[in-house]
Amino acid sequence: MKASLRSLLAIYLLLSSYFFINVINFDYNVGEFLIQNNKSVQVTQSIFNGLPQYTPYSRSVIKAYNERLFPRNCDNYNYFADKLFEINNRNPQTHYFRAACKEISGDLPGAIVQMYQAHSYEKANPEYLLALSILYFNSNDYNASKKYFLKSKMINPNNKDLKILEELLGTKIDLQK
Amino acid sequence: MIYGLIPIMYLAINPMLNDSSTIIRALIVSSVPPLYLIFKNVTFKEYRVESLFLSTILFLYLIYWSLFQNQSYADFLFGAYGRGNGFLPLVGLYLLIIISAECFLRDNELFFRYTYAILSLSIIYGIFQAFGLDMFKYSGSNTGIRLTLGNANFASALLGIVSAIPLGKFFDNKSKNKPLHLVMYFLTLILIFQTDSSQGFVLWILTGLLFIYFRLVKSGRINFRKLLIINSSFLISLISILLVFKDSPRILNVWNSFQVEARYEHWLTGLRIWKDHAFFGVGIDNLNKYTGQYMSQNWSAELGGASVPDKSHNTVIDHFANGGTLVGILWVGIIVLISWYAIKIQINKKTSLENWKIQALGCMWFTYLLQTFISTDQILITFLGFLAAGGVIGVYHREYSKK
Repeated sequence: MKASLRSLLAIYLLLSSYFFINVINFDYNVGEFLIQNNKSVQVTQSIFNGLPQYTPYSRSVIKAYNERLFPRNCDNYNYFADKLFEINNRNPQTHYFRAACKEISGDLPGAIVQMYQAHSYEKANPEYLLALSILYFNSNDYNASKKYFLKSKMINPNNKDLKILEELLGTKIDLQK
Repeated sequence: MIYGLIPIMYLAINPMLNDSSTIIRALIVSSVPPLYLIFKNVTFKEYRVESLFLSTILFLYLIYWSLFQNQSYADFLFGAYGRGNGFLPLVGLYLLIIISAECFLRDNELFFRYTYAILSLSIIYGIFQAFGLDMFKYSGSNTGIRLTLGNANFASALLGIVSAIPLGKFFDNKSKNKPLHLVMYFLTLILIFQTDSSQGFVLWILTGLLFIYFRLVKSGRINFRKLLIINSSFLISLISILLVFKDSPRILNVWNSFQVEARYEHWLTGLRIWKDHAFFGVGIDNLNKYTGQYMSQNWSAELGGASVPDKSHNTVIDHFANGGTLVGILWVGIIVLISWYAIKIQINKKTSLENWKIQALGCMWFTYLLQTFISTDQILITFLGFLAAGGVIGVYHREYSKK
């Protein structure tokens, strides 16, 4: 085999080894966080500033969000939305965070646009349907709220938040019709 | 020498990682083949058609990613969804095909010995897992044993594919322990049942059938054309019966246990994505970005809405959707070529290899191929399938085409 091909393979080998060292280091921290439940700053920082690898990164962000490891304010929402968008420009979580930021800023129409974008990437995700229903409810558009509420309920009837919304929506519109 | 990787790959798990069953294996397949080629002489000339197909696939993936696709470098190089189906493992796996082609005639004994070794290891480890004595947590909370693959379907498929070795040994005229090999073949079936997955069962049956066919062809009692006509008629009749009686509870039961509808939905989703990205595809191992949008609403709702597949459960469709039409055609071309070789070498009367080895090799290739039509690729299974593919290519070029 030619020397030039051997040199090319040697460079390839060096680069891929360096890359895999990073992958293993990153994945070890993700395991610490997701499986071992180690929520230390060192671990979370190394993940959120680590490799742009979509699945482990987004799962870690979702866990951090669900467990309120970061304050739910626009700065954080936008930071993670941008990070996730960098890794995957069709990531629904990006739009979910942007919608959350717009909602707490009082921009409900803007929030609906963002949430609708998240919904367009995962059309049957009951969380996004429920969020759309809540946003429409808060915008006093009860017919639209009912439409997304019923879709969400059909897919995941056990969601606890549905019950609260059902009671509120029931005072505004007939849900049986 | 390269076949020494078989047991290493089987054992290469690291429970300390989040992705315990893929990363170390991806590292091995990405680094050992180039390392081997740096120190050993391999002549690509003999395999120029295959090398051209494979290198063009890699080149197109690389060009499309750099010019047209918005995918992070880590997802492109390693894969985004914990399967290690990114560019680097693919380069290593394609190199392995050529290396295996070069080594097979010389080192085939090692290939079969090590593959048999992982089957034996699987049986021992599988018994531990079946009794809930697994030392690794990832297989503890789920039904069905998972061996070292982290997934019951893959464990089942692996067993189905490697079942060709004990069956081959049973048919080996020089073999001293024929009953023992037959016991191993049936132990494999029992272990497949322990996985609670039907994939391996289908592959195990296919292994048995292929062995019979290959032996009949070799003995000259029947030719491949007749076999093809008989099997096609049988398959068409079977599918027709299943479709006509699809509403009967028994047929529904078969339908459900083989998850026919779910597989069909996976395929359809992949095809819809390809249709809209026919030129350049969506990027290597990048299907998940699009499946949420392209899967049918009913199926998505059935899965709970938040579950979005990252593969179409058919690697041909995956290649078409990931890399576009040209990559898909090249992939179809290479698998047709290898399958053609695998059939041709069965009828070669003068070969330096024992018949059972040629037959087992053919079985491993075809069962691996079937697995890739009905399920996703798993790096260890792909590794074994590609080693078998390399073996087929090597035997064909060295022993058949030169005659």
